[in-house]
Amino acid sequence: MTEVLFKVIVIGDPTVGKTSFVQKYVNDSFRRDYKMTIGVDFALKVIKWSDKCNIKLQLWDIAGQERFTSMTRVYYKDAHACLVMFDLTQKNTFQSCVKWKKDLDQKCTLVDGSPVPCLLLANKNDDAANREVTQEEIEELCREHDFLGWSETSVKEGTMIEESMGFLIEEMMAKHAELEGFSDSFPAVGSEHKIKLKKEDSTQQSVSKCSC
Amino acid sequence: GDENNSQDVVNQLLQEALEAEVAEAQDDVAKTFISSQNKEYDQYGFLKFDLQDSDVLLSRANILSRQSLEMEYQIRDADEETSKKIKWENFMVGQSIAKPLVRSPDLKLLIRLGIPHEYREKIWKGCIDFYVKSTRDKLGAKYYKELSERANNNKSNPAIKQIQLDLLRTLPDNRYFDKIDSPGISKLRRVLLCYSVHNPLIGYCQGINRIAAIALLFLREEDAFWCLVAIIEHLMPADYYTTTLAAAQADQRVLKDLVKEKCAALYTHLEEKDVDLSLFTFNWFLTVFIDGIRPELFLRIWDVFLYEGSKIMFRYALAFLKYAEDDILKQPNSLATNRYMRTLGESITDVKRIYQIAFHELNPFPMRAISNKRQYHLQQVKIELEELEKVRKDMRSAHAGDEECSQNKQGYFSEDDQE
Repeated sequence: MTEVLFKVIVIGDPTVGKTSFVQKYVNDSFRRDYKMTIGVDFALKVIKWSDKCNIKLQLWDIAGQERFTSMTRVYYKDAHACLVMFDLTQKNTFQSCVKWKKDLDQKCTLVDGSPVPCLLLANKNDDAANREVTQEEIEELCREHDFLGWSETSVKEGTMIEESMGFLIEEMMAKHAELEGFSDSFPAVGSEHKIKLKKEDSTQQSVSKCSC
Repeated sequence: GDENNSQDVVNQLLQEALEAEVAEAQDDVAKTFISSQNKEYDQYGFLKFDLQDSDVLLSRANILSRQSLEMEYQIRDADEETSKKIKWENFMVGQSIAKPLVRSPDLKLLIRLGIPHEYREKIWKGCIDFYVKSTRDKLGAKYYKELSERANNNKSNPAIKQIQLDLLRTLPDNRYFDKIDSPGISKLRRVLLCYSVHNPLIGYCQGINRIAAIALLFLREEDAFWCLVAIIEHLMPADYYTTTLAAAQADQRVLKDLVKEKCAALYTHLEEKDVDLSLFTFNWFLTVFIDGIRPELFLRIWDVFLYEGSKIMFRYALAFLKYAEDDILKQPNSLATNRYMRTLGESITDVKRIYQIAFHELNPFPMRAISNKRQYHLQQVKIELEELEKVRKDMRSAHAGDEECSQNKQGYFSEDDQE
């Protein structure tokens, strides 16, 4: 049995739902009253990828207040992938995503020097009445700033969480195979696990790959 | 053969009885937990159940085992507790409301033993006065009220929004702060807003909300505000909560140096496993040990901290690490070490043992050396931050060039990134 360890960092402004996302994904629970994260917190999820391979996913839930970014270099170290998250009902948190992406790219790359794969998550899409960001705006930012793709999520309702993480895991496994030259030993990175990626229309059931 | 047989029967009966009991207990626990909306709180208002545990039985078992440990300690320490109580009673006899607290070697030792619950307000207030009495007198009795008014009128205060967002995320497991109409919440909001107006350079830094909330558990609102002033502006080194948290970062490096000196095996283990200690200790320092540590323990730390100052944080952090050293060394890899370290603070129940390590076993503990290390590392951190800032500016101007060439719309990088 092979075991692959991936470190995924979760960044974005305060109160966009990073801790909730991590807890929902790892423990399948949602609460309204998480303590704020000071510095960083961790969670671990083990995924059976194939009969021959387990993935250990370590999620790093990173504090969002601006002044904590002076410490992010330590947190980003050796990350395999990243989730940049914002709150659809707070436009300023969307605008900050560029800042977060730049902070990451400036402080960290993969071992081959390529940028850390980054997925943009637009959380709280259950609150349609207070939505402040359009899909076109997200699409544009995603393309302009080299995100891998984006998805709307609702941690509260549990939508698009597995799918987003699945998408990211696919990417990490592909990269892993490429970097380690292991492509033969990971036949499991095949079509059965692939999430349908779409380019044009953006219904809410799949992660949108940026057309860049 | 007969003997074996009857033994088997007995074993089986025992097993069945046990299983039945466990099933029953599970039922009972589930029932009491669900039916009793009257949750269990400790004397400070903290919830005793850890609601984050999804497994009710496990959570209950944890509480019981903790309670039994606590009882064991209580019995073990009963004589000392009595003697401590008498010493404090004697000390308090000499105190009056009008008389300020005066530093003395006796008081210092007494505080290290822990302030009894009933005297905490008085002694904390006395300690806070060491640092802020003169400022407070100078600014006048109306200062806090004036700040409140200024805070109310200043709608453009950049701190307002985050303070508001963080109110319910401050101490969600404490009954005074768990709902928007809980008694502590409006006080917390005012104290934080007043502080952000009082010291706009710091404004609001996540973490100080926790500090203010703990102060409010024991002090009146205005005193809690001054407690925040004492901690941020006097007890902690400068630049602990400013926009780069430089001094708080420097302290993590100081701690690392001290671990190398005082717990060499642990230091080597962490190096080998590539585990960065600051991931787990930064929040201890920034919140004066409120984050992830049991109330009985962090309140004892606060007692000493308010009297002796921020350097005692190193004593406690090292004591925590020494306390758990053997267990940490057993962790086979970085993942396991990370997992263990994450809940280290929460797992410490033996307050007396921590006291012994912190104030006896770690000696000698020269404060001068700590000052020197702090100064050295602060300088290093500042140099690194400047370099980082330079890289960032370079990247921004390079990017700005790109944007012009491609005649793109204005990028988001120009957003205000100063707080």
